[in-house]
Amino acid sequence: MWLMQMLSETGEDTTKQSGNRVSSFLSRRDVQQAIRAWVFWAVTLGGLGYLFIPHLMADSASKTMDIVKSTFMAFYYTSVPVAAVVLAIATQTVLHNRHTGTAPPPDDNPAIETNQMANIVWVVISSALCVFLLVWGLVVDNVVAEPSRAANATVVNVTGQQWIWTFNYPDAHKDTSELYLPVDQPVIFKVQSKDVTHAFWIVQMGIKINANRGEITETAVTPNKIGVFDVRCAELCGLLHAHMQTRVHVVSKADYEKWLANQGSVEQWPAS
Amino acid sequence: MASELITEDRTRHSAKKSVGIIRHLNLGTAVIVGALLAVTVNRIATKLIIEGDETWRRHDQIVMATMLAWFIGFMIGIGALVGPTRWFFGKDLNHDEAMFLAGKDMGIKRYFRYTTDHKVVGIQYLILTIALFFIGGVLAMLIRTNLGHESGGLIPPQVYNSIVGFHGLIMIIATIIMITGPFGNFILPIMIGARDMAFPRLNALSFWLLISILPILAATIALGGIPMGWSGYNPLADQGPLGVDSYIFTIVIFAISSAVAGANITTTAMKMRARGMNWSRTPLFVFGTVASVALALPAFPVFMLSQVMSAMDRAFGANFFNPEFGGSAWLYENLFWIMGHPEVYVILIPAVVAIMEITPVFARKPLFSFNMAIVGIFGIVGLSIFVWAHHMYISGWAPLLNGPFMLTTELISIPTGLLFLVILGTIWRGSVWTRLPMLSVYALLFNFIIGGVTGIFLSDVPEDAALHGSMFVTAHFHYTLMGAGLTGALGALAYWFPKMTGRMLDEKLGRISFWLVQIGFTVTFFGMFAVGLEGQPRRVEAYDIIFKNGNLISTMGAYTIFIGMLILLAAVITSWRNGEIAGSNPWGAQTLEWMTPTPVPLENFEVLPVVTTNPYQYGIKQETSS
Amino acid sequence: MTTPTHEVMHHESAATVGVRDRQGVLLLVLADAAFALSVVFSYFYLRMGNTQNGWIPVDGATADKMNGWIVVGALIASALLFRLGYQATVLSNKGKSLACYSLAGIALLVSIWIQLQQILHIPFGISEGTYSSCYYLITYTNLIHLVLTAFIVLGIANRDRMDLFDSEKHWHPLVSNIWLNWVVISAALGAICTMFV
Repeated sequence: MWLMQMLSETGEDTTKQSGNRVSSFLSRRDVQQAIRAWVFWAVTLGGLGYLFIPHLMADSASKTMDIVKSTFMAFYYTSVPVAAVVLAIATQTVLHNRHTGTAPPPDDNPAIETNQMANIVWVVISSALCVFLLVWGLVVDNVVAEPSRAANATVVNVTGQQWIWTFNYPDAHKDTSELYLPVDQPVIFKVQSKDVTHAFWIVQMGIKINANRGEITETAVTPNKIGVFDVRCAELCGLLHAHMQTRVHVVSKADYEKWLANQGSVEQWPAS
Repeated sequence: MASELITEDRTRHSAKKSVGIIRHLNLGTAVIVGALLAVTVNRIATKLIIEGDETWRRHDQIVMATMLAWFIGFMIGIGALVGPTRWFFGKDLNHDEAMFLAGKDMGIKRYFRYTTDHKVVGIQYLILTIALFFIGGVLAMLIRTNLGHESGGLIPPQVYNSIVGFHGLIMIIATIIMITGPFGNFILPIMIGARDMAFPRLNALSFWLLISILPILAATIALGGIPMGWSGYNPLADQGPLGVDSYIFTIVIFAISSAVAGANITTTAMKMRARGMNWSRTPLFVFGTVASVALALPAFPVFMLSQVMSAMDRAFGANFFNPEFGGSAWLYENLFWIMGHPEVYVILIPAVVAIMEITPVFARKPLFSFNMAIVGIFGIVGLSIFVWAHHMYISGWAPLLNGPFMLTTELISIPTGLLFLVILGTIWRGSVWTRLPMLSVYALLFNFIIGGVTGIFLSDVPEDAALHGSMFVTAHFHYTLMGAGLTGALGALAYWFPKMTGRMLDEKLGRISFWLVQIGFTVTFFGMFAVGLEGQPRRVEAYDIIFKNGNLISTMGAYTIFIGMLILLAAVITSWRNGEIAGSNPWGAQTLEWMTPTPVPLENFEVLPVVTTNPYQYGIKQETSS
Repeated sequence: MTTPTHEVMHHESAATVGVRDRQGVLLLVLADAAFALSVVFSYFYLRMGNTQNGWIPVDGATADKMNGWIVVGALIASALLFRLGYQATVLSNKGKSLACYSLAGIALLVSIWIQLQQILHIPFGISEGTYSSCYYLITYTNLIHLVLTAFIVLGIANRDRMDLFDSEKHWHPLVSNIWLNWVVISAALGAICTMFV
């Protein structure tokens, strides 16, 4: 196990078999203590994360949000063993090597200036973790972009202004202040602002994109759950930023058609 | 440290006092000249700048002219222009004048004038840093108090937004200077065996530039505040009240100050190390401080430019950030974050190296993998220039660049990991001398790992789309800047306090404060992580009822931190006045600053030391020592 | 707390101090270069972005593309003269060095005058699109650069007149020369930008 390798000491008898080295290293008292601390921290942190984090994150209303939540947990479980190494060494030293008093401790600790094996193992492990994170990130980034490539996607124009959201359905020439979306239908949001920069955020769908004045930005999602969800502004936009929120109604396709057919204010989207 | 002594020629001069106008300049004259010039220019500008269609621009012009006048007046009054003027006319300082400027035999007065002695500047920076943290802390308490109830309401939204902006701005300035200011100035030159900084007058300049912006910052309150947050995003800033002009001035002058300080500290470390102190014998603190200030040096001018543009937009109707006439908010965001991300490491690296300086002393072991520490520091510095757009994943600026920026951001975890390796390797099998500085080592390890791991979540593009702009981000960067950064600075304060003040920092009060702060910190920001995951946006003055519990927990934690910090402040004040007298080397450390007597004499070393080993020789048998 | 003690006087050689000065000026040039390169970045960002076709409005006037290069020309003359002066200082040839520094100062004042004339005759207002905003930014920042540099060059000339430089003490002209060269480069960066209307 790499943890023990890292802790191994320089200047050991090189004629011994490496298996012997590892086992004699493992049987050292301080190493045993560190391993116990590591197990303690790994179990504690992993358990706490397992118990609490899924309940903290907003309920998912899209595949994108499912991915956000699973990515969070995957990264969390990946980092638990690493964090546990740091905390284990901290714990072991503080519990077993403490020196109190006003005079400095005696200079009789092993004068280890470096350990090539520990350096190599550390760099290799952290590089491997880094590659894992990157690959994961690229893969899921591609998956969450799927709705934006859907041929049958509904387009909704979103306009932020201080401090309200307006939604325009170009196909139906309809403007609303609350968002209505059909379930299981990809939707592309074309977002812009009339004044300062805002950020369009559907909390339970895990999507967010800035609304800029003079530019149109895009994000896309496929809602997969019927219900009422939250739109919030996530970029400080002045006086009533905290209150710049509205609701998303995800409804069945039939209800959506019915809603579209209803009379609404008809307004032309400004030419882009 | 084994060192030989080399005697140098010492020439004594009979006192010849001809110090001219410098003798009469101090903080008082600076304020008077600044105020007079500001009032005069304000009157003239009000008369000259004619009321036109766009009165808001007229007011901006008048306010900016007034602030510029104050700034110039203050710098004249403090004596910053005496040096350049005398250089121009070929009247260089003679020895007496140089000694006068260094604050020789001047007692307490030297702290209130353009004093060049690096130790005086260090103490000045320390006091300024503490004052800034106090103000920023009070503002944080106002924020948390308002957020104690879901509908806010204690503070009106406009004022609340300004408080958020002030808290950010003041804390950013404070954290940037908190280590390179006090310890980089006081300790670093002694640590490398130098008699002063390379450019003592620039040293004083960098400090008094900072002081000159304090009244400008205070004026913001009368001018409508800075309700756009410390990041000053345009077009929101363009829309803001006259207080935004104060913000602009603050940033511009701060950028000049940090460029001057950066050039000074870097040159000192590169050119003035003691004989024998090659790079492998140079303490890590020197590397880290230089890395930090040398990174700030090219970063802050970029920010400065964004503010010059912002000023032109506001006062003269330029269109840099006005999309209606070709401007771009994305340009501002780019300029801001090209500074903004290196700045994070400008704050963090000095804190980590201060902790690395402390660890071997209290673990009584050599620093583990000195070379890996260097690789880690400069790896971070190199990569930090290429990661800025991870703050702009969701800006819509360039979605195609999100992948590459995710790569560079995640790569930074490798050199950061090396810093952990160095600290862990040093404490492993060492002693744990549980004095105040060592407590900070452990607190930093605990907080920094949380700050680092949460940073990994945010570096992921889809994850960031969900978490960006939420309280999760706020909690994450408080973990890095406060949990790691400020903790490192407090460790450095406890460690170098005996050298700087001649007295020990009160251990008992220090411990009470340490536990209150660290427990309060954990509580506060775990509450904040929770509400962030639930979906509470940042910088809001009111929030949905579902976030109630997390916010209440955060507010209670914040009060605990504040009480802990007040106790620390009390400890610092009482210890400074009548703490236990410290010897010259109370920790038994090996770096050069502990080889000088305490209090440190003017010009530090009577004979310059010669260095023969690196300063972490704990447990290594000395072959020679003299 | 630090304490004043017995008076200690340490002579440092002109070369020791000079090497430091050179290092410090190089670092300040680095900071200034970050500013200048950000200007270049912003110029081309806005030009390529051209939000709402606002780079240059329809029928918008533009400045002469050669304007920047005229200032650069005067600056190059100044820098070359200054360089000759420095070479004369190294050889302790005071007559020649003083003449060169003075001429360099005059060339710099000429460049300031040209820059001022250009600023006074910009054929458009600052609000007319982002091109105009950038043009004002580039010319004004360059003017500030030139005034600062004039102070330095005239100071060097004055100090040379007072016999403060010789073959040993040549570091002030050297670091000023570095600075002057950088000012030429930064002015040229501005001139290159404004060629791309």
